[in-house]
Order: sequence, then structure tokens, then C-alpha cells
Amino acid sequence: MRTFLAVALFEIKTNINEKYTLFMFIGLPILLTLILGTTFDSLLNPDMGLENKYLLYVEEGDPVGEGLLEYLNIEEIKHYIQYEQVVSPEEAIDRHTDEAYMGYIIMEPSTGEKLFNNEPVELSYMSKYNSEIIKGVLGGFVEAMKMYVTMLEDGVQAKEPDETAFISRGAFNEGNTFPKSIDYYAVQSLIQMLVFAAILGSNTLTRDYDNDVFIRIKTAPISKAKLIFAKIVGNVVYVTVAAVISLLVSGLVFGANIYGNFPLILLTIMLFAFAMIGIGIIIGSLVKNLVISVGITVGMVTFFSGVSGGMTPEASSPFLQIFTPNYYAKNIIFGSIYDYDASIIGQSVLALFVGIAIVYTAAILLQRRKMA
Amino acid sequence: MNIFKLTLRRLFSNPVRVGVMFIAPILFITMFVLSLDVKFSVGIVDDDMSYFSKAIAVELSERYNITMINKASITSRVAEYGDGYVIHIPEGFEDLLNGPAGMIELLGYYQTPTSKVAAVEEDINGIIARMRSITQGVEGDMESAYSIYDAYREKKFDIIDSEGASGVQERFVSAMGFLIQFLLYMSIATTGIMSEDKQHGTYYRNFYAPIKMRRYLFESLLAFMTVGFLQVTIVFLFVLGTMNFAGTNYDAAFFFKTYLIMMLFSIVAIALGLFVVNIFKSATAAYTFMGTATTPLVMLGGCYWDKSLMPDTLNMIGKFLPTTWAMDGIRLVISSGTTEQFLEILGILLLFTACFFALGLTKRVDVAN
Repeated sequence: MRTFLAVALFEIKTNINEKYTLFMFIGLPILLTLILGTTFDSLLNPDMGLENKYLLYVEEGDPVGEGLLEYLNIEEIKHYIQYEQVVSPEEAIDRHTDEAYMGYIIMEPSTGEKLFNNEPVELSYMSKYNSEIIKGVLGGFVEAMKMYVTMLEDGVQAKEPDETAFISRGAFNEGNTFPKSIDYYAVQSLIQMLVFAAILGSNTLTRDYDNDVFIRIKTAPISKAKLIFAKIVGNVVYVTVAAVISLLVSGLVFGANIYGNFPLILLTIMLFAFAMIGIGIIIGSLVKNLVISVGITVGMVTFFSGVSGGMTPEASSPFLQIFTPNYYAKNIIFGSIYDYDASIIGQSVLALFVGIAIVYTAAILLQRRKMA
Repeated sequence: MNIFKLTLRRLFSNPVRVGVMFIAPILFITMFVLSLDVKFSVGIVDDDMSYFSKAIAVELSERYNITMINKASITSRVAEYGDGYVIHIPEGFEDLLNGPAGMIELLGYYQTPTSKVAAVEEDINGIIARMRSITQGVEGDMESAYSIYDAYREKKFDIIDSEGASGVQERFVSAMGFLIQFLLYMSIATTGIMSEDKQHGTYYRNFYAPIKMRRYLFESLLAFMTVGFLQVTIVFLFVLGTMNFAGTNYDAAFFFKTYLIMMLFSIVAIALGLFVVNIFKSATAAYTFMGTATTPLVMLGGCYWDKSLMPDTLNMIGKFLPTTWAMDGIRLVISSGTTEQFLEILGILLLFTACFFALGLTKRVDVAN
């Protein structure tokens, strides 16, 4: 037992002495929380505003065109689209490349007349960014116009809408609290940092292969399995302590909401680190070269955090993220802070355990094959 | 040119290096940039099951991936589809369409309020407002309301994304952002072999060989730059081949200028890699540091998003990073900036190159010892 603890302690000390691991496990998550938490503060706010100016062409005297101008002057719509009227479609197309404009909106001449005559008409637009939002906002106008014209044709007087918002945010938890940007990225950056633990896993193995430790160990009073396990424990402890430090910095310095079920969060961090170190051991066993395993791990970090919403929630992939451990760790930690249904947390914990079982079975099989 | 050839052979003989330099950027651009058009997932809990509540699902299905779900699975659905959205239509919804204002309340469930969530809510609000206008117009005669609604849905008034050009700029800038990220990975994947040479003593054995250190450095750097140029060219050709630029005013001069910026940035990246390799004694430390530092470098440079989203302090820090200037260059070319502004950015990138080369090629105290 003493040998086991000595090896684990040696591993912790080695990690502390490596400056780059300190940057990786403490500096990086703090830096990412700061950058992402402040950058996306406006984007994750439900009242986000977009400064989008478009060049707009509508034919003078066209009733539908005038309707569009009226629609774009509604305060709520101004939130998404501001416009500058131009005299011809060509002018809109020519000038839209200017940095000051987000694109253009062109209404076909005689739209009103064509609509009443049941002829197909078009409202074309070009948006450099946020094209989906603009399409949605213009879609609202187009649908309303179609409705007014149909009602007039049927001799029914359309009434001006007396209200325009019908949706309230549904509550997942009692206090109806949701993560703000800084809360979201405090957790996401922490998980991203934990993926880097795979480097420690592969380091554990490749360093010892390089130094012929596994040959020399045959004359030492510790088995190879025990040695590797002691190193894993040392690395898990080191990563867990670093994660807790960065989590505390996020909470105490940046004011992020990290206040969930602490034992559960700690367990998640340890399980995740354990899983990642296992993956690192597999990578290390397969490639036996630390440089290559670092390359693979960096790719893994970028992929895992990208598809699970670590960069931005909008870039996450609903399909791919269920194959990443980040997704389950995120569900447990957010679930613990924001009172998700117990079944979601339970399933995610189970998924992490299953993942660990698969990873370590593969790691053990690979090691046995090498020994054979 | 033996060292040049040998270095290239060493770089290309390692499958992970080749993967990081050429396959990974294409893979990431495909996954995160070209897939931006994937439809947003919306789950609907319909407790009303009326004509108009079902019509909401039909209208939304034209723009989103719709799944009908039950109330019990709302939380798991939102948790599983991290960026998804669920709308709950309560029982009695249709009866309230002709009622007084403030009575209709649908519940929207989502994890984070993104622009996609804002867009879908805007759509649903619009649909309900129109249904309300119709039912109020016919004073609650639901049969007439259904008939007008059906007739209005038949009308042809389409919104056309002009020649499919919308979002091309957004996607092009994102693709260039990813290229910058992978050029930084390339920088360490290439210059790292100098660090390996030092670690294995190859570098010092050169002193006994009939080659000068200058030649070793020159030919190695030439090999790294060749790889960088190759990476830029391959990714550029991939982007040009897969994105639809029809309807944009992007001409040959536009593509030449952006290509030039990326080529120059590949040299900056190699100089930076050389600098990092010079700081760290072990190849592992250099690789790990660059692997982890690349993410904040590209974030602060505005490679993932527009700089205007970041606070002033971070933008100020960003001014000291080459990634910022490369992205500024790309955005300048897109917004038809002047030649003087373009040359200024090239000048700044050259300055970064000079600084990093100076820092990367000095400090040879270890050799003297």
C-alpha cells in the first residue's frame, strides 16, 4: 500500500512540476470561462439585440410595400431589422457589400396587385449573417399579408392584432432559474479541461515505455498493473484538485452559478477524469508516442467540446453529442445545479460508468496483449 | 536540399501529423461550417389536438425538424438535444383564440436562449397572431375560420434567399477561422520536429556533420513553409469547391487577397511555432502547450465569432495576437476595404513574423554550454 501511495504521490508531484499541465488544467479553464462567459453574455440573453441594417427596395405606391415599411417600423421588429430605403433593386444589390449593411431586401414591383390576382410573388433577401432570423421575421410579414388579402377576398375585415407574444419560458425547476452565459461556460470550460486529462493518461504509459520502466519493474516490488493503477489514481487526484480550483475561481471570482450538489459534481469530475485517463492509456498503448497522442487528444478535445456545445450551444450537434462523455457530464452538473429530473441525472451517471467500463476493458485487453 | 527533402519525408510519414494538417481542418469545416444549414429541432407537446394546434405543427414543419412528444418527456428532450426547443400547447388553446387578450399562454422550453430559439418563438408568435386575427375576424365562427385559414395557406408569396447567397459570408469567415486554428496546430506539428531533434541529440550532432547550422535551419523552415502553403491551398480549394458563391460579388481578386492573407499567416504560424519550441525544452511540453493555447488564441482573435461580441478589454488583448489581424484582413477583404488598409494588415502580419522569428531563432545559450 505504501508503495502504491508513493507512486501516486510521485505522479502528483511530477504533474505539479510541469508548468504546462498547470496551464492546461487551471489556467486554460479560467481563461476560457472569462473569454466565453463575457463574449456570449449578450447572445445568451433572451433580450439580445441585433444591429442589422438592410438596404430595402419597395415600389412606391404598392400597398403591400407600404405594409412592409409599417411592419419594419414596429419596435419589436426594429430589434432585428433596421433599414435604409433605396430607389431601385440594382442599387440595393450594388451597395450591400458595404460593411455598414448586413444585406438587402427587395420586394417585387406590383406585389399587391399580383397577390390580389392570385399570381405568385416573391420577396427576396440577402443577409450576410443571421439569415435564419431575418427569414423568420420577413416570413411573419409575408404570412400576415397573405392572410389579410385572403380575408379581404372573403369579405371579412381583418383586425389589427391586440397582442403579439404568447410564449412564456417553461420551468424545469422550482425557482425557474437557467444558466447565464458565465454559468454555462464555467461548466463547459471545466469539462473541456477534463478531456485534456487523456494527455496525462497517455503520458503515464509512453513515458514509462520510453524509459524501459516496464522492463525494469520486473525486479521491483510492485506489479505493472499496480504501478499503472497508482499512476491513474495520482492523475485523477491531481486533475480533480485542479478542476475544483478552477470551479471555485469561476464561482467566487466570476460569480458563476456552480452551486449544485457538490458531492455529485465532485463525483462527476472524478469519473470523467478517470474515463479520460483511460482513453489516454488506450491512445498511449496504440501509438506509444506522446507527440502523436497529444495530437489525437487535441483533436478529441476540439471535437468533443465542439459537438457538445462547448464553443457555442448553437454549434452543438444533437446527434453526435450523445457519443461524447462531455454530454453526460454536462447533464449531471447542470442537472445538479438547475434541478433536472432525477432520471436524466441517473441515466447520465450510468452512461459515464458504462463508458468507463468499456474504456478500461479495452485498456486492460490492450495491456494484456502487449504483455503476451 | 537533403535536409529539406528529409524533413518533408519525416512530416509526411507520420499519419497523425498528416491528419492534423490536412484531414482535420476539412473535417471540422464540414462539420461546423457547411452543416450550418441543418434544420433546428423543435418538439411539440399538443394537449389541445385541435384544428389550429395541429396547424401550428404543419406550419413549423416547413422550417424546422418537428417531433410530436408527450409532456413527460419535455425535460429529457431538451437535455438530450442540447440546443433544441420544445413548445407546449395547452388544452383549450383553440377556444381561447377568439377570447380576450392575455389569455393564451404557451410554454417554451430550452436550455439556453440562442438566436435559433428567438427565431422559432418569433415564428410561433406570428402563427398564433394570424390565427387569432382570423378567428376574431369571423367572430368565432370556426368553420369560416378554418376555410379562410386553408385559403390563405394556398396563396403564393414566397421569400427567396437571393441566389442562395445568404450566409455565404458567415460560412466563409468561419471556414477561414478554422483554417487559422489548424495552421496553428500545423505550426507546432512541423516545428516540433526541431524540438524532437534537440531532445534526441540530432540537432547537436549536426555540429560534427559537414553542414552549417544556417543550412539546417533554412532547409527545415523551407520544408515547414511548404507544408503550410500546401495546407492553405488544399483547404482553400475545398472551401471554394463546396461553398456556393453564386450571387455574391466575390471575384478572383477577392479570393487572391484572402489566399494571400492565409499564406502569410502560415508563415506567421511557423515563426510562432519556432518561438514556442524555443521556450520549452521538451517536445511534449511544446506540443501540449500549443495544443491547449490555440483555443484561446483563436477565440481572442475572433476566429469563431465577430470581435464586436467581445468586451473592449478582450479586444484590446486581441490586438497583440496575429490571429486577430489575420481575421481582420479576411473581414476587410469581404467588406471591400481599401488597398492601403489591406497592405497595412499584411505589414502587421510581416511584423509578427519578424518578431517571432527573432525570438525563435535566438537564445542559443544551451548550444554554447
